Amino acid sequence: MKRFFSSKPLLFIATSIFIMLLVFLNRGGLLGVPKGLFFRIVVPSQKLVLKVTRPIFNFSDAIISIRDLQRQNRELQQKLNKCLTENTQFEEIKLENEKLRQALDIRLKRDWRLLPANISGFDPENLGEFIMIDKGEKDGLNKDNPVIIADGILVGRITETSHCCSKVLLTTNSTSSINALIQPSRASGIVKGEHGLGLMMEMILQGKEIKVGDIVITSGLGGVFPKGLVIGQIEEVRSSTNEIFQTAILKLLLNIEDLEMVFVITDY
Amino acid sequence: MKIVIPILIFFAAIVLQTTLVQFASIFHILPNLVLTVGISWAILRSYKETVLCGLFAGIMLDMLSGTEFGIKTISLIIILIGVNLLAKEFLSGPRILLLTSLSFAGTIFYGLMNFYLLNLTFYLKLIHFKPELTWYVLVGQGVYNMLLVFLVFWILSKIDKWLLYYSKQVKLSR
Repeated sequence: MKRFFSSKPLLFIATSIFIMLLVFLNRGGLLGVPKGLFFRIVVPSQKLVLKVTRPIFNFSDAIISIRDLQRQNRELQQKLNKCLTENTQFEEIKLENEKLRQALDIRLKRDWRLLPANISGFDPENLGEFIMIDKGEKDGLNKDNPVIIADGILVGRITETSHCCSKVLLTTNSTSSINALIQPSRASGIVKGEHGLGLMMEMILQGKEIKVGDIVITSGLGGVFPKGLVIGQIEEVRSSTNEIFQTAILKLLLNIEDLEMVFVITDY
Repeated sequence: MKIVIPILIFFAAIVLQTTLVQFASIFHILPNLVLTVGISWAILRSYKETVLCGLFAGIMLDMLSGTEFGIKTISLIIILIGVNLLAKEFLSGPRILLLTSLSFAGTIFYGLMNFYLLNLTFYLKLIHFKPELTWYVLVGQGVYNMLLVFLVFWILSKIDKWLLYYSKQVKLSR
């Protein structure tokens, strides 16, 4: 046996057969137990490394970007002031809306059932394609459950679950495609991921007016995501008169590297 | 012991790749620590160990990534075998040149092989395949890995020396 494996071509052939066997076993769903065992070892190790290193990186980032932070702080202060003014107006509108709802007897949509989960790891090769979270089948998570952050900003959806953890396909993943609406104009389109680097909204009809800064939300079509989750903000509009559709480049409103906790919508 | 140490090294590399390395992105480009460790190990160690380590690391990568199972394993093993054969039997010259060229070329071929195999599984038919983005990521990662490989190789060569010393001691004690 030892002699058999000492031959280079034979070792290569044996390894190739073994890989093929693993691929077929995986297709048949027979690798669930070894995968589960592997995740039970990997996830705690990942969590430990993140717990130790994240504060160090956050601290060093803060020192490096202190000038940027000062500038951001000024900008945010200005935005806050603007928001405070708008908020007062919205409060008034909300009260008026509630009164009208009561008058018309329209019930508000029920709240989503959220489950908090910690990030236990990132995609091994491409930032912005997948993340791992420390909640799985034992916590009642299922495939296609939407994942958001606290502000209602969409992170992605669950694509694979095991006993203790789940894999989340991020919106920036190249295979991700979401039915979306541009909030002010109600123009619909499809948001697709761009190799983990960003987002692009396609299939927006030419006649629809869209502008930089508009917020893009989920339309609720397709049944995977509830309506109204924030996907991103329009950064650039690509429009040409000889094309049927317009395209928009979206800015992500979350930084994947900074994600620590997410919420899984288990029921909506 | 001879196989436990590399398994632990690759396990640590995978854990670091999915955690710590994510904070080291420059212009959205990440280094591939597992590939860098694999290339360094393939230069230092035997063919048999290269194949076994490539198999172990590839399976772990496949389990943790979202692509079709087997793609990373096949790509990684082929690249590591190529690096091992080139470094041991075909190429000679200054080690720095060997390290940088194999690391850069290994990264590019590994990425291309991933894309090619993904294409075979019809994965890429569903997505926007943008050559300019692919090359941006691949070349960027190749340069990043080329820089990282020096540190990784230095650490692994120390471990390699210790392993050689350990196996000599074991032989002598027999």
